[in-house]
Amino acid sequence: MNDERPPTPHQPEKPEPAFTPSGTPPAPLVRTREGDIIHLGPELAVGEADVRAERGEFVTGTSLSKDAWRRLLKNRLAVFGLIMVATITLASVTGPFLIKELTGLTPDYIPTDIAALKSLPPFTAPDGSFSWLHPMGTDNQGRDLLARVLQGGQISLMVGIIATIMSLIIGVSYGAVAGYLGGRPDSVMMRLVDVLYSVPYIIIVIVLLSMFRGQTARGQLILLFVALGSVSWLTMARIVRGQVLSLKNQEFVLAARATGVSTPRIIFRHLVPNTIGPVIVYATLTIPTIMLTEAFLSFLGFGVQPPIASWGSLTTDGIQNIAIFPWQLICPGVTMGLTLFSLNFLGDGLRDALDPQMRKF
Amino acid sequence: MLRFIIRRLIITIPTILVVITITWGLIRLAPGNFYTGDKALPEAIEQNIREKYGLDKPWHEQYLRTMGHILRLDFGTSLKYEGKSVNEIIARSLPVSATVGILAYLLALIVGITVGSIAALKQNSKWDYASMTLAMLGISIPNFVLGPILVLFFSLTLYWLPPSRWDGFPSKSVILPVITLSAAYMAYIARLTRAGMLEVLRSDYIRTARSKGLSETQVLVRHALRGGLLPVVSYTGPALAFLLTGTVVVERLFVLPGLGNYFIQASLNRDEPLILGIVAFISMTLLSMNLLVDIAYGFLDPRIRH
Repeated sequence: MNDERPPTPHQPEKPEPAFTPSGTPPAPLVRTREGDIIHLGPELAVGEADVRAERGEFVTGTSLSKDAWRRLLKNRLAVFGLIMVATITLASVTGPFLIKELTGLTPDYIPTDIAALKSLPPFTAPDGSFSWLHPMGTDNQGRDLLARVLQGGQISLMVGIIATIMSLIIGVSYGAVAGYLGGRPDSVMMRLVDVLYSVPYIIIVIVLLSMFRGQTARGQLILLFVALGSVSWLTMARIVRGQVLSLKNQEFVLAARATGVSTPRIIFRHLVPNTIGPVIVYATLTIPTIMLTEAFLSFLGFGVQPPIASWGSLTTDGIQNIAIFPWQLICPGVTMGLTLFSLNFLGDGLRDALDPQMRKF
Repeated sequence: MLRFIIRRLIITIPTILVVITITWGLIRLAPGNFYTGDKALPEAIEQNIREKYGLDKPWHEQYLRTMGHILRLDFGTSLKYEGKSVNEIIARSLPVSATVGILAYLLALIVGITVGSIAALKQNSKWDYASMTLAMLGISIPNFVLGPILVLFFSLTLYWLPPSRWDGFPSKSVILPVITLSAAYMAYIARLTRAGMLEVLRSDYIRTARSKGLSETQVLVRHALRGGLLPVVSYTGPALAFLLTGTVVVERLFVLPGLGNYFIQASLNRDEPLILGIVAFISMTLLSMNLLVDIAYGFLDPRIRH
């Protein structure tokens, strides 16, 4: 195992240090009065908080999550990512309804007017004048591209989130069990992960999706969740295993065992909640990867099938008409790129905020 | 070292067998057959086909026969490209994929390492932020979006480069596929180089090198790069897998007669020997490359001796 990082315990309740604002401070080494300037050797130097505590100015403690949140908000790119992700998600969820309310257009609405039965550039009416009706233009059948992109966003985000949740469930359970059991079961389980790691899984996913073509669009979508979720849990398992290894010998686990808590309960109620930090970080970075894979599979024709559309399939449709109607590619493509970009920045920011030791870039 | 190589080989071979078995299993478990089309075949004809391809035998016999052939690197004859052996198809399409892949990887290495090193040396400068934002953009924009945009610009507007054709190497037709494929790698390599260099530049041995009076260039080239590029070396393994999916897309986009295109076609056609042949070939290449990378890693980093 070369992926063992230094232990990074994520305990919500840390053992209380000697100097605490809430506890009674032990007898101070140097008596101070209000206004005294303290001169101490470096080994005796106390933090500002400790001095204040002695003086009776209690400092409010910062919880791990509050601290992480503060660090995240300091990272401008991560905040940008957070805002973009929130905006795009909100727009994808509510957008199609809003557009329907405001203009009566649905993602599948094909105009009956023969003049509108063509692909219109953004902000253009059928007669060529400026119009707010189609901010992203229309596709070959005259369907509103903005409504389609927003609805495609629902599908793309859903694939990303559901497949990530699947990989979370598998990866966390697998890693936690392997880490807690240790010894032979652990080395067998992790050797299997090593073997699966070197499998060119995308090839197997392509074979799976092409052989078991979903009979319906919905069936294909479920197949996609399963295929993507079941191949992306390996790193998660490794991360959780590493965390559990560093946690399992701590006192709270010993206490749980001593009071007769069952092994599954120790793993899932005591250990897993403590691995949440790195898990959140990795999950945030898994979502864009899975969305990218979905788009890639849709491009090859193995992803979502019509009438369901995702960003990947919309982009693929756009590629066919690139020479004449470039907006059909650029609008969904840029929306997808922006989302992945924001998610990646958010994930990076979360990693720096939640787990500074994991910081890589 | 030898023990390490032998141990790795011991898990590599079962891995290849597992991959082929899973693929074979998926093809066989899926409903239907390669000869089932829209029209139902007369029973006699179906019987003949089943006999010809050995489908009438029990499944374990078929499995062992297939595995035996694959282990002897005899992948059989394609079902759809009549009379063409799978080995022949691989031999013909591999050079195309390999050319694009290798060129893209070299380009990515050159650009990525340069940009990453500069970003690390000028940490937190405007240049650092700009190049890292650009790198994140490169990771986030799918290559099948980037490719057509490049085509739109360089082929359909400026008429500089052909939009989709293959004239072999060296020719103008190579440029767009290579750039499209290498963009994401460039971005990854730049990020990895920056991270690796940042870590190394703070380390003690760099301070020692500086304090013994080496010039900054010498410190950088002879000491920092060697340690700072380790993450890039270990990325080569994943990069190869990544290259694989990348080439599939790029070959589809630019209509190149490469391995990826044949693989997609074979999957759509249910061309069992061709699918298995390509899967086996790709896994073997990938795993042996991974092994090579691990060995190289041991040589580059004296701290890691297996």
